[in-house]
Amino acid sequence: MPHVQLAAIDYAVMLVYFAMVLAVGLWVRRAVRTSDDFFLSGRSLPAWVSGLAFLSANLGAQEVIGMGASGAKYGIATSHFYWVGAIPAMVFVGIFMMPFYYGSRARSVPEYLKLRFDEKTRGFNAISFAAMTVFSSGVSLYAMGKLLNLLLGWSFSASVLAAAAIVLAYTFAGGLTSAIYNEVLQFFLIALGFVPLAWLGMRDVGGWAGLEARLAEHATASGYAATAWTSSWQHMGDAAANPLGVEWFGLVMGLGFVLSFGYWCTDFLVVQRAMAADSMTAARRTPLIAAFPKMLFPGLVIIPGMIALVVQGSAGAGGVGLIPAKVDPATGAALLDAAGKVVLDYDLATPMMLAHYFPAGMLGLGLTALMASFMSGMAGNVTAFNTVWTYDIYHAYLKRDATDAHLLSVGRVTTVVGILVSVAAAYLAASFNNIMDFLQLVFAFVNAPLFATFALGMFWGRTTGHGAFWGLLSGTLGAAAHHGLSLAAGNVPGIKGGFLGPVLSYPSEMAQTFWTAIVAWVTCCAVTVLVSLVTRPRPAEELRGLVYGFTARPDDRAAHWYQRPAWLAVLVLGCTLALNLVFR
Amino acid sequence: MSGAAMFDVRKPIGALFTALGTLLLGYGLLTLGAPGTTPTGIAIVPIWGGVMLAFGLLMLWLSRRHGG
Repeated sequence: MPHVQLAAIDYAVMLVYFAMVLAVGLWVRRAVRTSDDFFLSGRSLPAWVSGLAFLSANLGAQEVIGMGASGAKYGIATSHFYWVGAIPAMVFVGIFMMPFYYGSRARSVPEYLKLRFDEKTRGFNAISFAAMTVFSSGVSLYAMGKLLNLLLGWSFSASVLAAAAIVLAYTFAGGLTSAIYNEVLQFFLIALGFVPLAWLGMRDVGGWAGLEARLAEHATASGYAATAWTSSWQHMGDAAANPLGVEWFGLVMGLGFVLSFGYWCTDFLVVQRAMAADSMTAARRTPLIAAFPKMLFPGLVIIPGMIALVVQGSAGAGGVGLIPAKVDPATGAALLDAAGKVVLDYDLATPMMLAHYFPAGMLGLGLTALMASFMSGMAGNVTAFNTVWTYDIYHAYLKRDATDAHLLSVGRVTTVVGILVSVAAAYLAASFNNIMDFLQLVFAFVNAPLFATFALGMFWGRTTGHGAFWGLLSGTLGAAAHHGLSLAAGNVPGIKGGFLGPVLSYPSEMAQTFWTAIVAWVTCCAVTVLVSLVTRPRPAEELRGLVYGFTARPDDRAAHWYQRPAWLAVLVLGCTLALNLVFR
Repeated sequence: MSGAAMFDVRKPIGALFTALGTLLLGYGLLTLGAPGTTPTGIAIVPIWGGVMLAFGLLMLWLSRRHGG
């Protein structure tokens, strides 16, 4: 694939953005005096800032590149990751769970687990979460390095190290505040960088009707019904009838319930942004405010991927539309799957759209927006990692008598270590065709059982620490066992599953991942309930502020009706339902 | 007051988009009609530069209005 040539104006756009990102880090540095300022942003942010950061911290590699790739691969059904797999869980965390996170004054999700359950449950979650965040951060870095190498011919190592150095500079200086402010900046940059791409692309293909007509040809040529790429629900009755390879029950239970609630309700990476809000009402509004732009993001990230499949372009030999074939680095020939068909490099769908539609100047803007998405995802992971490491591992187990100044220093050192480990992880993260599939798998192992622990812990006072710990452990092992015993069509036993002997087979990796999550959740739930019933629960008075039945409901009557979380939630859910119906 | 509350994030947002908008609007106007600047038939660079400049100025104005 020939490299895209950049003009001086493109480099100028990148330089302005990177200078501003570093300036923000230096600007907020003088405000960081205590560990609370560094790790929790002093609990001082207005809801719109924490809301956009809540959204932006999730805008890592899996969002812009991964969703564009999935848009091309699976069509508008990818919107299930938003309208089924994100918005309902964001509403739930805002309305029902934030009162416990924010109200308990816990500084992290693992610390809430300690307050609600016990030390061992906190330790288990802190260690698995810390490992997951640096890995996710490494995936973001890897994806960025690979992309810049393929697209622009930049050195993989130089791209990875330069991005890591910039993220390190601003998170080291200003901690969470700096990361959050940059995330808000990145949100606007990503939105303003991708709106013109979607607009130009849609205009070129003749609007939605034109896109539907072109994708109908692709769908029928691929052996599906004509509307398989342009309707999100019509073909969900049978896993073989839609390109996702998932049936509605696996989708709703696996993605819409277990994975989605597991991620949005328990992942400290996003919850940390809401915990930095300046009041309980602001903390509860944080995910609800984030939900509005989130529900519109399919238009910015999925639709360009779909357009890339049908535009006449320069995909080269074996490619489709603008999407080139995956190339064997050793021979330079296009890779073929088990059926002898060319494997497309879907991760290049969005970047190729940028190169196709954007002239000099706009190309710099689009590429900067892409880099911003990688960096916001990475910074989000690093700030969550250093908080959990410092408070929940170092302070809890290694140095209980640490002073606040000492914890602040440890936080800064941990930021450096987190970035270094992410760089190492970037070099390890290279064996999946689609980055998102891999991240979903990691979430299935770690987050899916966790949501069962939280749901039971927050809403059933009888849940005990022993129940939570053994439930979590069994859920994670259950996920590993299911993954080891199952395999998606076309894969060979190994990291993609089946390493214990493939007993179950699925039509797609996604279906396998969703069912892994369901197994993890059910296992964790069952074991937690059984162990809790035979162990001694804590008295009700110790659970005040931690469990739904023993905690006063938050009072929002002082706020205007449109600021009350309950009304915002109704509005968010109504809009999401409408979008599902429009694109059904 | 905590440190973070002293800052208004609208200021850096405004500064970034005013700078980027000015850059793209200026470049777009200077290269108007040059080959390769309108691959879709629309002069997207100056148009979008203008949109970003307007957004940046709006953010700076909001920041000033709120005493930032």
